Amino acid sequence: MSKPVAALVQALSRVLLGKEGQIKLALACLLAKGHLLVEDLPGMGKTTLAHALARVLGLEYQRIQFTSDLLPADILGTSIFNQNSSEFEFRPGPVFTQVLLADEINRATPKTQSALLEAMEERQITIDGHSHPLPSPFFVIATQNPTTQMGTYPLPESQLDRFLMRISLGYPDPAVERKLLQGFNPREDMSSLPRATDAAGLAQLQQQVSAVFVSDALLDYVQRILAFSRQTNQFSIGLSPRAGMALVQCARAYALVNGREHVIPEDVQAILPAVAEHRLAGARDITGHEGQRLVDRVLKQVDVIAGR
Amino acid sequence: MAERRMPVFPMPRTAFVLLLLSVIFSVLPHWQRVPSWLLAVFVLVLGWRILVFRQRLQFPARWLRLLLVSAGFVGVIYHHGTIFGPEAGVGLLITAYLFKQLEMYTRRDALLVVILSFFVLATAFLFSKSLYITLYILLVMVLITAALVALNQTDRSINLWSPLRAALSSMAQAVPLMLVLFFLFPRIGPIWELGMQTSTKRTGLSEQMSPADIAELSQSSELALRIEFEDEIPLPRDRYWRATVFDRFDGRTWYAQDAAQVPALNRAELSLAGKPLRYRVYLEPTGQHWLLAAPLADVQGLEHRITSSLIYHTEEAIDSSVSYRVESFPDYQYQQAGISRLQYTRNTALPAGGNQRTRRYSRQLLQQSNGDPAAMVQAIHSWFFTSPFVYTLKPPQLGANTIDEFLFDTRRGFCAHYAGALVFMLRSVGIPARMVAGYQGGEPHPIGRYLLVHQYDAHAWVEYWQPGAGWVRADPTAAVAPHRIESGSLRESLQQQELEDSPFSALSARNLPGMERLRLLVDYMDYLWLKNVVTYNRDSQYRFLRNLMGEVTPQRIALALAVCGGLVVLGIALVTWLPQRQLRRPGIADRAYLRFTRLLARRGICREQGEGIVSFSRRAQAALPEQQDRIQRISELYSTVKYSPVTGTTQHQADKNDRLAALEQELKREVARFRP
Repeated sequence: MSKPVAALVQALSRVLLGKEGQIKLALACLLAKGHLLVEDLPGMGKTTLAHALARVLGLEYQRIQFTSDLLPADILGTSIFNQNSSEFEFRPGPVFTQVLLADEINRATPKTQSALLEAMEERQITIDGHSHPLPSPFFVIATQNPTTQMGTYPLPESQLDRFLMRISLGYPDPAVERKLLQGFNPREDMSSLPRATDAAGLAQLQQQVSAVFVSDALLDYVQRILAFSRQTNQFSIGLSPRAGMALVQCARAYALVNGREHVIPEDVQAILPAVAEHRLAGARDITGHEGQRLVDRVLKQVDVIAGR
Repeated sequence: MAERRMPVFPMPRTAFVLLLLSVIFSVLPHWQRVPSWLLAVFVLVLGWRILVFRQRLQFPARWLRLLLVSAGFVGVIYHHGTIFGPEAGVGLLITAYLFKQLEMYTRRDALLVVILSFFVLATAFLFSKSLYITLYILLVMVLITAALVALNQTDRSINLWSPLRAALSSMAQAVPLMLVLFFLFPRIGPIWELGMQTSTKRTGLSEQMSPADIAELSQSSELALRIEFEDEIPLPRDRYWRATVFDRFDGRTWYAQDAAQVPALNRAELSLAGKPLRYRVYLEPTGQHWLLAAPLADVQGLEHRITSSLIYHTEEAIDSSVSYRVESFPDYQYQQAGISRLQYTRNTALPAGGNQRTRRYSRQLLQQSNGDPAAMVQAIHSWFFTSPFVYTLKPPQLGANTIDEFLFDTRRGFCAHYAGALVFMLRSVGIPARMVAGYQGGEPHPIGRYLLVHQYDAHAWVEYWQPGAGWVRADPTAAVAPHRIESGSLRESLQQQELEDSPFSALSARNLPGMERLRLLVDYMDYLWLKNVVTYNRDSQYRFLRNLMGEVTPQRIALALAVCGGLVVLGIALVTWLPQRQLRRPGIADRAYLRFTRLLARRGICREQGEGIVSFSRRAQAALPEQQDRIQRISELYSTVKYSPVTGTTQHQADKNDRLAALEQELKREVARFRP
């Protein structure tokens, strides 16, 4: 494991106990310059993850709690008339930060959601005809409650697609849970969390991601996965070319997180659920989680080795 | 009682369109056979079904359906007058099939309609087996199969091409197997037989014939038979294709001999001479029991008996196309020594009274020719030739004394009139004579060496008996309308206005050279089809198999079937499977690694399909700790070859390839040494 990345994982593990897999995925997502969607029930440590990530990466951090009456201006900012200079003055909103935690994004109305999602895609916002670039790097870590819960506006497929990965944290191990019950508070520990790197270091790591080697055999495997998702009639929509690119990019980042300079099929398999689940939909999907079953199929049925 | 609302199966649009087309095209070959009102009902029902599909209308209530179906059945039975026979049967089938459209609620109903479509389509073979109907049926089969494919798809939009392509490809795969079965599968006679002749009306010569019947035949341009010659095609005036004999006259109508009652030919009374004419006859279904041939013929390849009146009689009616080989001796002499008393009586019998003028004139002619039958026939011919007799297909009505009125008053008629009159005249003076019916002439086909004989070539002529010469053919029509016989052309024998509604007006397109060639080409294709496929029966199959494998035994047939069928299936499998196989042919490293996994599989450690190299290696190592190092090494090598950039620092492609080859070889060696 290359040194800075190892340090990052180690630091994060101190606040998120027993979640090394998710930490690696989240890191890979950020290293692949993608936005992250964390979906889980309230109280599973989503916010902790986002906050800790911002902290160890040494980045500026803002949090927006999405509610049903949140307006686009509350996120992006507004122009205010300054009586002294008799001019409109732009007051940047919370979106002007490096790591943005959009908490419970699916509680807001689609209009507000899309305001954020536009910012995610363009990495700049336009208000009153003026473009305001967002800081670099710019990450959105959004959390959402399962769409079957009350008072949620599910994100449409097109917007889900903007998130490179969707992960969920899941319940902690009994041993870890015992520790929490004994009084360990991750949020209190946050302040003592060391900064493992900074914006420049992060940019360097992102450079390294694109240098990770991807062999023809691996691309064959990825293409078999894509073809499988498009052929079998259990998928109502197969994986798009963008999803394919995301797969390769994430696999590279994941290989780097694991300290390798080339991608192996296990990398693809590790990131596949996070990258593909929210982009796949079953023929009769209600919960938005049919993807999980389908990804399992892909993992089981798509052969790693050509031929046979 | 309220109608129970059935949940309606949401049929895919493509399937609905294809099914609708299947229904239309399955019924289409029968449109002339079913009552015309059924076609109107057909359109209405399909319209209703479309509106149901578009949710503008409801399915009819059960009582209404029952009423409609019952009315349809009664109508069809009334139309045909029977429920037996293929036409009535097909009519009833189509009625039921049609109304099934109005209760197509469930997927099961739709599948039933698909199967019924195949069945209705196949009934077209009951009526014709020509090349074109076969091609048509094959095409519609593709359509129905496509409907079946589409029923299993879930497209919301109409996409006809994808199910059609699937159907085409499955049909294409079935064709070689079909050919094997066609040529090799033993032909077992039918267990039951359909009484085709009982209700089927066929154009052609029939058992009873008034002159009007031949006139009607002359209006038909349907094909009667084809004759393929081994040598030269004979001259038109020698083309007499004899079918049956009419020897009983009731003053108005001539009746055919019941050949089954006539004794068999006595070969001793026959003397054959001259060069034989060798040919093969392809006879269209006639529904009758006689074969067509030029006398005196030796017919091979079809069960028959020859009667003493030289009719070639078959036990079964000719209900499908048949072919047989014939060797004819035109210069035959038959019964020149004498005929039996029975035959004499039969061939001189006339109604007791009537036609006195003819009888008188006949006696007069006999005296003039000194009692010689040949001279008398000659005299009658020249009388026909010199007097104003007219050859016409539209003779005037005749009264009580038909022969008198024809010979002395109207003097207008066609072959049957002249032949009938000649027979009457000869019989009235005690010369045995009979009317013979068959076809005369025929049109030589320019491409194939065969003769096309149509229904309008139907002809009647005369045979009279002369002591010392036996039975002699006489054709009075030749005297009246020489063209009819000499050039085989009915057209030139007719007056202009008659052509208006004769078959030739319909065929006036013949004047266009392109159309003419097309017509002949179409017939040629059909002829080849008939010659090679339709008439391929048990005998031809036996000959074919004997050529193929010498002695024909059930074991050999079974073996040939198994071998050919197996080869076909193998061929199809190879054709569909090879390209894919070629596409993902494993390389050296893959083969070595697959061997490695097989070796491990023997120890019960099977790689899952989706399992990566590292994961599998870890699992294998845990299961076989003593081989840990080797497994680790092999997996690493393979993983390196497949997924790593291989070279550390070199950028040269050649070095890279060398290194890759070295790694592959090492992997191969490692796997070869691997003994789990």
